[in-house]
Amino acid sequence: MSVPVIRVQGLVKHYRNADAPAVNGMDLEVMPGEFLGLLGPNGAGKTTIISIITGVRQPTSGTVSIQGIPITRDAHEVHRIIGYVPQDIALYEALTARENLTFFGELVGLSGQRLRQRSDELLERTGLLARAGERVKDWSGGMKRRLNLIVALLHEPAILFLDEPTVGIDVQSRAAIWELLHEINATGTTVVYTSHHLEEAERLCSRVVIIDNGRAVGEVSDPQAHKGHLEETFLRMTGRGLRD
Amino acid sequence: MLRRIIAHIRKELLLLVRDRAGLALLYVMPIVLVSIMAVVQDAPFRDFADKQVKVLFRDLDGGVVGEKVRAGMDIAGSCTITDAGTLSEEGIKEEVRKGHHQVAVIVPAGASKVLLDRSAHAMDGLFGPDHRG
Repeated sequence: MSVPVIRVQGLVKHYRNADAPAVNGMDLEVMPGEFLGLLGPNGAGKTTIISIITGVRQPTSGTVSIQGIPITRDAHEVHRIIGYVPQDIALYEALTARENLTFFGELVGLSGQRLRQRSDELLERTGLLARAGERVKDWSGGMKRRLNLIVALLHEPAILFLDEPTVGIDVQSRAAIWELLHEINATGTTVVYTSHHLEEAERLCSRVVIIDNGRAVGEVSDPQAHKGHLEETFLRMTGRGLRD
Repeated sequence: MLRRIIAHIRKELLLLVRDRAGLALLYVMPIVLVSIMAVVQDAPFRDFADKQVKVLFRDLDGGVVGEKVRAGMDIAGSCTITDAGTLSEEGIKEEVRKGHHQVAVIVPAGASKVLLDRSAHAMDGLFGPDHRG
């Protein structure tokens, strides 16, 4: 029997000056090799949950462990295990793609030939190798998103977190990202990602957890088998009221 | 840890070299500032140094004191000295009052004699026959 690689228990996050908690008693378990989608309307708490799980934010209460390691005890060790693609592009625009990869690779302990080979391999797979010497500021949004994903994959993480990785990009870039995510998940990498795109979740995820008001309100296993019904389920669980 | 620090330093240097505005702020602006401040600070001193005081000079003494006072003002270089000729003391005061001259220097008659007499008296007091051992 396999053990969850991510275990979240009773997670609460209350921002100062906020009336209601952003995360309100979230429980979650993710099994090895899963492709989990965290879906929810605007302000549901998806980004806060993912940023706490990755150690970017501190919870008000509750526990998070990655492969049995509490994130609050050994964040450095956890960061060796995970890769995180934030919602906003986190690249140095004045640097070239290769310089960005060299910098971020060195931060996670890669260097020399190994770093070069890994960078080339990922650049090739995302169609960016020929333009690796160009400065990122001259790139399109889709190219930046692909490079942002590569940065998180450099050290071959066992678990990959993505926060809305396909927002505001063209169809080609989105397809390339889907393909790469599908490939790395097929090799055993656990993927957790947040999205607004139900169609994307249906296509990629092995399980979907629907979040609203800072906690899980429902779950859909094997959404591909219920193709077309995810939106109906989503609206039933989160309501039709408009969100800010 | 050291490798991470080196990676950060290398990255920051690359970012700095490519940021022309940042470079200008970091290096060129202080140079410009220092130059401007030097010029601004220098001007008042130079004005002061260049300023000439109009002096009306009258030597009623005709001796060594009058001669030395005149020579001292010449050396100072900040005085434009005009000889008052035979102008009376009242006439000299009137010249200053009217603003034709900023300062008047009158060396009184007998100033050299008084000075020499006093110094001779002082020397006698110190080294005269009454004080010899």
